[in-house]
Amino acid sequence: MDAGDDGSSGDNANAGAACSSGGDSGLFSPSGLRVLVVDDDPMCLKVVSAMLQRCNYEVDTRSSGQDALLLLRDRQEQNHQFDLVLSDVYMPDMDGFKLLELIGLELDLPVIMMSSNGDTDVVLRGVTHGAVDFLIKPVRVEELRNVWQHVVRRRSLHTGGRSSDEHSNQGDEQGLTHQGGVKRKESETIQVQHDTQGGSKKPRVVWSVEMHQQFVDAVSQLGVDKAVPKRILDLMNVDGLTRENVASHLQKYRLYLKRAQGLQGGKGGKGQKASHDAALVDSSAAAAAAAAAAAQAGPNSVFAQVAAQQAAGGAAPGGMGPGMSSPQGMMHPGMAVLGMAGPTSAAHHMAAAWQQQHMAMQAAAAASGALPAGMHPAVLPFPLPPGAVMTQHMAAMAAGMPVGLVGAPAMAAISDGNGGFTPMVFPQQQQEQQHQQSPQQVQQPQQQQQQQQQQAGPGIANADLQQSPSHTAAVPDGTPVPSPVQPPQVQPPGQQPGSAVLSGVKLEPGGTGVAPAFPGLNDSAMTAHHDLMSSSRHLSLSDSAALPNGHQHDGLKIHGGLGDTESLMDALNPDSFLADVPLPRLDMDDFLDSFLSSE
Amino acid sequence: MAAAAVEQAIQQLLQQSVHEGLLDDQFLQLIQLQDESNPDFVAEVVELYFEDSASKIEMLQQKLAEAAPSYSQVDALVHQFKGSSASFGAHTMALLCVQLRDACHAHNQGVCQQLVLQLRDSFAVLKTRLEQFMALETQRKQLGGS
Repeated sequence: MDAGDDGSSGDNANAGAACSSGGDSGLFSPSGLRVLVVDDDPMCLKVVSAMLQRCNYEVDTRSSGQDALLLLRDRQEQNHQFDLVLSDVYMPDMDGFKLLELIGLELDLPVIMMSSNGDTDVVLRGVTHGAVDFLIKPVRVEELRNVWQHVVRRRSLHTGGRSSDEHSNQGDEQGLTHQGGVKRKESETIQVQHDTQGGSKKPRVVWSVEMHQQFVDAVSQLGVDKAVPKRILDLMNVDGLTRENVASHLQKYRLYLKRAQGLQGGKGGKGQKASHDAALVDSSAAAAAAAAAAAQAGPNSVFAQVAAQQAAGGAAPGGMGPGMSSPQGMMHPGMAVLGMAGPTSAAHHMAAAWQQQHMAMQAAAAASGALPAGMHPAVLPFPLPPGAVMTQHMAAMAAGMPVGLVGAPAMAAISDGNGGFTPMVFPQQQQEQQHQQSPQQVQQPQQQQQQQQQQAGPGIANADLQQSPSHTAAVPDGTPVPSPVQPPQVQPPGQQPGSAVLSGVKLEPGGTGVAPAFPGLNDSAMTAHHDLMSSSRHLSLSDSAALPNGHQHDGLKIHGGLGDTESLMDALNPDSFLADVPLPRLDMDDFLDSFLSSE
Repeated sequence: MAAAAVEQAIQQLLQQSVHEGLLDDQFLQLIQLQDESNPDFVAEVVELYFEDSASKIEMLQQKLAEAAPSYSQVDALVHQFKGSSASFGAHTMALLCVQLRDACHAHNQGVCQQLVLQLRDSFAVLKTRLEQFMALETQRKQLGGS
């Protein structure tokens, strides 16, 4: 196809495909946006192409979904990927929605659907399958002119606002017009870059689980409704992170919380606190919704995985609830408080996060039929004191994931002290009253950190573990981690299985220092975080080098990864838990994106 | 002079066609897409529509002549025909396709066949009109128009 011709738009001072001068300033030009049009109708293909070329986009066409996918995959490997795909809905060889799904899963490109059928249900299908827009044929050139916004929007979210987010949000208002000759204001927005790989063209800020954890902690401390990026950034104290990165992540996070409320059937509360509360009680709705969404999204999507977690349940038992009341009475769904209003520590969160990961895997396995539903006792590489209950909720909290997603009151487990867990079932009703329970003592766990690295897909969890000498370290060569230490004891008095009571996770002391009080994040907590993150690198198993599909990615790419039973079984086998299974890192920002776009 | 006259003739022809419902605004848009980077666009798209429509009409006739037509196949064809007609700006054709689709859903072979005949006739009229248009277009370009 013809390359986009910049010559005809004489005013484009900065026109050109690779017009990234970086930074927050510069002129924005959508010229050279690479668009792939897929339609079995040659007339439509020709017309839409011509229109896109008129908009100075660079256009390629394919008349079947299969051909389109081949091309897209090729381009991915060549580091020369399209920016946007336009696809017809009704195509003989491959349903447009199917193509849309596959592109979303594998390549994370924005896709616009087209059809002469404008029925609401068809459009709705497009939306629920993740299309960023839906155009009714015959398409007009004016409609196509602005498709660049979908690319920019996605990029700005991905990069955490490599240019200023405020500007990117105002992109449409800056009077950029392209009617006959291009005018643009001297305003700064995101540059369209074509010099990096794949759907995400710029080096991305990867929101690892720990970073997200820090983010969540900071937000909790500030109050979710009041948190501002600058202060969050200050609290997070992460080198190289910009205010814009945080702002963008915060935006997504808030959206996520809101949606989680919707997912829960909105128990009529206002704000994220209420959404969180609603989440606790409306677990079955959540589980159902999640299951439905997961089914739609396909087993390999991040969304499915999260949904699987939901399905497997994990109502917060009692005091372990997500967003438990803190002494300040602050409830925040993202608050990774392991169920207590008392002090906890970052390490707690990590421990719980690991467990969540594991549960997620099991849940995912269960969801995909690989295992019978129900929880398998997990062998943790570190001890949980007996009676300590790990729940998905806690784990989700630990990961800083809005617990709005964690639903059915089915799953939690009581540690037997041998690293094994016995499943518990918690009646739903008890959750709320448990909210107010004050936490049991929380001991400073040894400074442990699990860095969860998780790829979308019924996942394999990767954990970085740093353990005190009293525990066997997890080693990357696959040596199984022996059960840790503490002999099981009777549950703390007053707590019984089924009574949704939670003593909180008690991890063995022995680490360095005392658990900082939480939610009042203090220096030592942050330091602990830093220490953990930096020192656990040697145990990292995940390198982008070794992704199962042979893809190298800077950050998380959602692609069809391990969906087969065998890999799952492998992953779940405690012996192979830390085997050489390459595990991509979970980018929490991508997770949020995926959630937000998958509904 | 001559160029202006030709331009005017073109405008008149287009207006009349729109008035008659043969063509609609979409076609007028398509004409705008022709420029230096795409100098033969109109001719190409007209040619494409001719071929595409002729072939579809023939296929429809064949399929609907069968004793037990496969209505799903007919439907798929008509859907595409509707799309291409709408994308081209062939107004009447698109409308007829809509009716044909309804008849197809109703498995009404007789009505389907009738509508296909109408499509054929309407296409013949449209084709003639477009050929006139193309002749004028050619003149206009030769006279230095873009």
